[in-house]
Amino acid sequence: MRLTKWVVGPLALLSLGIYGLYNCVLCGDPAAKAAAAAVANGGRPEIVVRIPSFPTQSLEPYVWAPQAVITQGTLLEGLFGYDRDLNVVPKVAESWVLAPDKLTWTIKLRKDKKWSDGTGVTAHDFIYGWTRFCSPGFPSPDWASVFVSVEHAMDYKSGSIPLDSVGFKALDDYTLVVKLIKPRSLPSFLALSSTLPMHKASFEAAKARGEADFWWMPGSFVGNGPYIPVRFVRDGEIELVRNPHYVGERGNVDRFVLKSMSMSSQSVQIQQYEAGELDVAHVMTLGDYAYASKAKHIKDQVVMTPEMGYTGIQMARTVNKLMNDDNLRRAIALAIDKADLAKNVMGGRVNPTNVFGPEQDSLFAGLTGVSFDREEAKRCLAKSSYRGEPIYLFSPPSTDVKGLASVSEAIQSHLKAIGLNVVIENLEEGVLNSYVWGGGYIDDPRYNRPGLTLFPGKVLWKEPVMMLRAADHSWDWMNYDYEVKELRKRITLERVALKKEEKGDKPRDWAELKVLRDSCAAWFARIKSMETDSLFRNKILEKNAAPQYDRLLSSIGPKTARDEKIAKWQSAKDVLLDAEFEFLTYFGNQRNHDGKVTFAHLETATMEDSATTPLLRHMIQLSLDQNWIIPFFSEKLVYVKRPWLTGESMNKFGMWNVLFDLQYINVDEKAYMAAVHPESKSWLTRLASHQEGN
Amino acid sequence: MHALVFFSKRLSAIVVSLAAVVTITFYLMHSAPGNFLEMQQVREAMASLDSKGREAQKQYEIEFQKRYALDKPIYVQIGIYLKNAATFKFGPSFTNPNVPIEALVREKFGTTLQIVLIGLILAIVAGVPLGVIAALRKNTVWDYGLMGFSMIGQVIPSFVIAVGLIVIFSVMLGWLPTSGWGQCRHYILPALAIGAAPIATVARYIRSSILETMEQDYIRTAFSKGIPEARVILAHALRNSLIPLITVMGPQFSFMLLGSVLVEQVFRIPGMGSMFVSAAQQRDYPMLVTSTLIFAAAIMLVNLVVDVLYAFLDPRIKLE
Amino acid sequence: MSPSTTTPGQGPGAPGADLASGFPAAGSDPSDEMSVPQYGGMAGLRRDWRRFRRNKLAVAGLAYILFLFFIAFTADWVAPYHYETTNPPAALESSSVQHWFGTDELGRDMLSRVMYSARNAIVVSFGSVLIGLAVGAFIGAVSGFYGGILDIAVMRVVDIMFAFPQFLLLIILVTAMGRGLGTMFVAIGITSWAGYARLVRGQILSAKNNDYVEAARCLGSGNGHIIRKYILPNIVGPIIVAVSFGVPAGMLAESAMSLIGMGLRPPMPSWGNLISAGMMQMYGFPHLVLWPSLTFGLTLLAFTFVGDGLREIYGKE
Repeated sequence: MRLTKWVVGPLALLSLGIYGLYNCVLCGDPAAKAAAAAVANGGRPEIVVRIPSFPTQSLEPYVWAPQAVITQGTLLEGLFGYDRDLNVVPKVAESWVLAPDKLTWTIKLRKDKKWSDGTGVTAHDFIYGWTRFCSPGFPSPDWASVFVSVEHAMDYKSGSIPLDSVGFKALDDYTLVVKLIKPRSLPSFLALSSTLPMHKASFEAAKARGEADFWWMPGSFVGNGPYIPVRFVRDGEIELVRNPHYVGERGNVDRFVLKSMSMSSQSVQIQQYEAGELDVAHVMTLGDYAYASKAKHIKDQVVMTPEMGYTGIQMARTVNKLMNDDNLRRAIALAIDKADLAKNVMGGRVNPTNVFGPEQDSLFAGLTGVSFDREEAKRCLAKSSYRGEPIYLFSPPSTDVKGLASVSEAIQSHLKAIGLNVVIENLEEGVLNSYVWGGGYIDDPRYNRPGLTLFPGKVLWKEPVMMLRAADHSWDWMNYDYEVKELRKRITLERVALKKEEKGDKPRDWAELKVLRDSCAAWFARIKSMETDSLFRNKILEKNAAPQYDRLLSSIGPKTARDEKIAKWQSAKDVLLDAEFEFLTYFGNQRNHDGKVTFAHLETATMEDSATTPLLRHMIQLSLDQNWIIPFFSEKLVYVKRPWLTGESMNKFGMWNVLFDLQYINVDEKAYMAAVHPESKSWLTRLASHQEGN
Repeated sequence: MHALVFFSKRLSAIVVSLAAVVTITFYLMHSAPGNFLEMQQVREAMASLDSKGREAQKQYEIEFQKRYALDKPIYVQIGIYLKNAATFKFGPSFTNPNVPIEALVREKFGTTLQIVLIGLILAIVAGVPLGVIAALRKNTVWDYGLMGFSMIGQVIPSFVIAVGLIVIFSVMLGWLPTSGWGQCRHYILPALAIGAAPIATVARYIRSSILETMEQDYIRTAFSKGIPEARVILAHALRNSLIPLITVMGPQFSFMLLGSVLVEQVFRIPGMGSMFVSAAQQRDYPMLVTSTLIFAAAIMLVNLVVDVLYAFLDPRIKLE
Repeated sequence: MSPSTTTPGQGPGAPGADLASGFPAAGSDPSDEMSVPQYGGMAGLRRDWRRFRRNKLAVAGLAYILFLFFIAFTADWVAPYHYETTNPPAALESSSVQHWFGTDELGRDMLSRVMYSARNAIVVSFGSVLIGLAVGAFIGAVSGFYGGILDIAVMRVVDIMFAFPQFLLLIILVTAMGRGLGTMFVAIGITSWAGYARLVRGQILSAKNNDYVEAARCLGSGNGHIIRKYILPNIVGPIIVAVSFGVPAGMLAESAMSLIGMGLRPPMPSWGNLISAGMMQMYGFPHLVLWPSLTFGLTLLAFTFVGDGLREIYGKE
């Protein structure tokens, strides 16, 4: 008895530990693994490239997360994709035609494209994927896709319309038709992860097994991209191998290992690069940049490529009079020494810029931003109404890896030098975002202080509006007279409070709204007669809420339940307030009528249209003149890579700036073998003799 | 029968405590500033949307609220959550609406458990001999050296030890990888870092326990019979201190489990700890509540197991 | 004997058992092992000091802590630079005559930053202990003294606090309250009060049941008199020991929070901030992580020595 106890105790602990050690033993000898691969490759050691990636919890393409970057173009191939310079190019698409109405696109597919199980890629696969994306109740971020503009796609999503009336259809196996409700650059959207095809058979099979959420797991995944996953660890490593049936341009890499790096620790990559664990490493921190650009052995392996966007300050979206002073804003723009920021604060890893992006970008050629001139800034400030009030610089909370905290400090010193009283206020991310992205309509005097916010202007995909890099914010949010902003604030607060109003079951309540309805009808009649630009006029008239009010009122009968009446009354008041908002910003926007009209045209312009670029340039120049947003610098995306690696492509869209489109990556085989498998020759002979012995 | 009453009492206490933990977490998270949709990445993405896109975004937010029952009062949300949690269903997280959290937990808790268990085994395999050596060589250089080291091991936090290990073994010597997960070489440094404190604790415990036992009469009897010292220590003193060692290991397990939050951060291991931290940073409530629940449940269950094991191994102890 | 997860070698008596993992102990029960100490008046203090002095390590630890206090509170004058002063041309230098501990990526002097870190560590740790102690002692005292339903209710709450993994609670609290110096010590205080409450309650219960207290009560002494004369002297010792371990635990909690990006707000330095920032650049510039780790480790060691010394005096051993 005593003995059993002595045995059971340690045994219990040990058996618990076996689970841990199990993996340890199983992982096996890397050399054996390589040997197996070498045999499969006819004796040539496998070419393995290890690159950093973001933590990924699935390979589901529709999720608005870094995984889309991995999936898009590499695991699944869309009708369109990007070339190495990030131009939109056809992939599965062969030819496409835009009808004269600028809304109907007919796309012919290539017939030679294959899924990884050998079956052909057809138009139905695309329709299947798109239908899934738009299915009612499916948690897809439709705002980040083209389906917002596809006919009836959103009505289908809300469940009010059957699938067959949605505006995308397969005419035959290799022809697709997409009908939009307004002109947009369809090819740019067809390169995005939201429009990738789905392999119906494998997905349905996974669904039948009850694994609909895991259809993308290695083993059940069937893709049409150049690579397919063979190993997937959540937030860990992902391994990709060549899709044997892929047709199209592709490098000679046999296997990719994607290593997950969390956002906060991007910078340890360089250690891993030096330790031989990574073949590409992103250089994120100032320290790493200093190290990489000085250390002799990796200095030559540093690659820099300009980002598409910029970092700057935007006037905080708060409602106060001070920032409406043109001279003050111009003084701020003049006072910031961008060269100092770039050189001394960012250690030379950014390019100073006066426009909304890298200055060498041809889009900005000839445009003039405000450049640093301290004396002129002082003169400008003297002309303004500024009298020493504190101006807040709302800053991010932490040592974000890119060193933005020190940028705030530098800006503060630049602005102090011309006599501005700048106070840095660190804010939590959520609060800060309401200053940067919010409407500024919080009814709190503390909130509505004059201020500046650090602000990144990004390009998310290639569409004319996106190419503005958020410069249009000036028109949508800021460039109104102070009084208009106050009125807008009142309306917004009223709309928020509306949910608590329980009115609508008495005729009196509707009569109360009638006043608003009648004035609304009058306003929009006025806009209709005044506005000369037909496109802009139509855009605004869509907001006329009077017909909506009439419809809601007439839908109320004697039998309508009280709750329903209240809901209808609230929705009627909501659209009426929204219309008042629109009306106000129309008549309050004499300052920026030009900008708003241009923006309306850009919204419906396509990248392919030659008239788009002049419009864009016009709009950007307008924004630059207003100084609501002041660009400082455009980052250089910096990474180190092995000398034998070429053709890598950096994703510059949005915030997940990692290597993507891995198909372009190519390896100089001779140099690779010499560097990675110096033993390959003798080792191969040994392997051969070993096999003979067997 | 006795044991059964004890068991059901303890289990119900655990269930009540877990419900309390979930409730507290829920209330705290809902009072936190900012929510998932306010976070940078979504906002940044929306910055340049046109009017249609903004409407779609609004619709998306409403659907989002509905999907996660965020439009319901908080006590209803807690009720729903607890009801589902009882069947080990936690629904999807905010960041990845396509992955059920229980699938994540299954994988990640396994990862974390592996490090902790390896650390635990390390603590016993290394700690016990070290303690015995120190006791055998009481008040010699060996003793002082070992105890000095274990003092440092106990006091220096695991993440500083982790940093030190990386500097020495990865940066300077280049023997082991700095981070990562999946192969056996990835296990060594994290297990060492997380096991350092338990090794030290076990060594110190074993030493003092042996020295204490040496004062006992039966040991003196053994000595007087002329049995060699080493044999006395191993056969009698050590044996008597091994059973209570289980009760030392219980708390060590919880320390290591929570310590994994930091060690995983340093070595970038995709375990529960990193999941918890990223959930907190991204305001991913379902994920945060679930990982808190899992951590708390694991700790409580281990405490229960330790008590039961202890009573099973030591006949003098009765469960009550 | 009922099985308990707390054993000899745990509780505040076990140095580092809770420290080493980087957060205030979860589930360790500080009330163990404390017995009625003999404490009273100046003579007692002098005697305690004589006993403390015999422990050389403890004295060394105390000296180091006093030195740290001096640095921390005179940092504004003693530190060669301000912790925010940047000097880009001199970025990332290793040790030199101008910068003993080198400079960081913005050219800030590491020695100065380490010095100011000491100040923040002391503010956070002592602040959190004060809050935890004030709340815990009050609740524990009231609960122990009056007993009954109140006591049962309070102890249930304390049990729940113990059930909550404290480090996780800390992270959640900071997420809810936002980062910053104030939040940091309030949050650490909130997560640690339960331990003090249990400690104080246990001491009061054991004192209350003592024969001499019964006797005093029989002789007609009022509550106030009993508290002043019998109970207070008995709990001071254990509290001092608990505090001596609570302070480094607070420092650890803060640095652990900094490591996961939830500690003090940069540019305000703390050891945790410096270590986690340095870790990112460990490869090229090891001095960034070396010095803060070293100072931090020494500080924790010093506190542990002092705590051990105090425990020898006030503890049972």
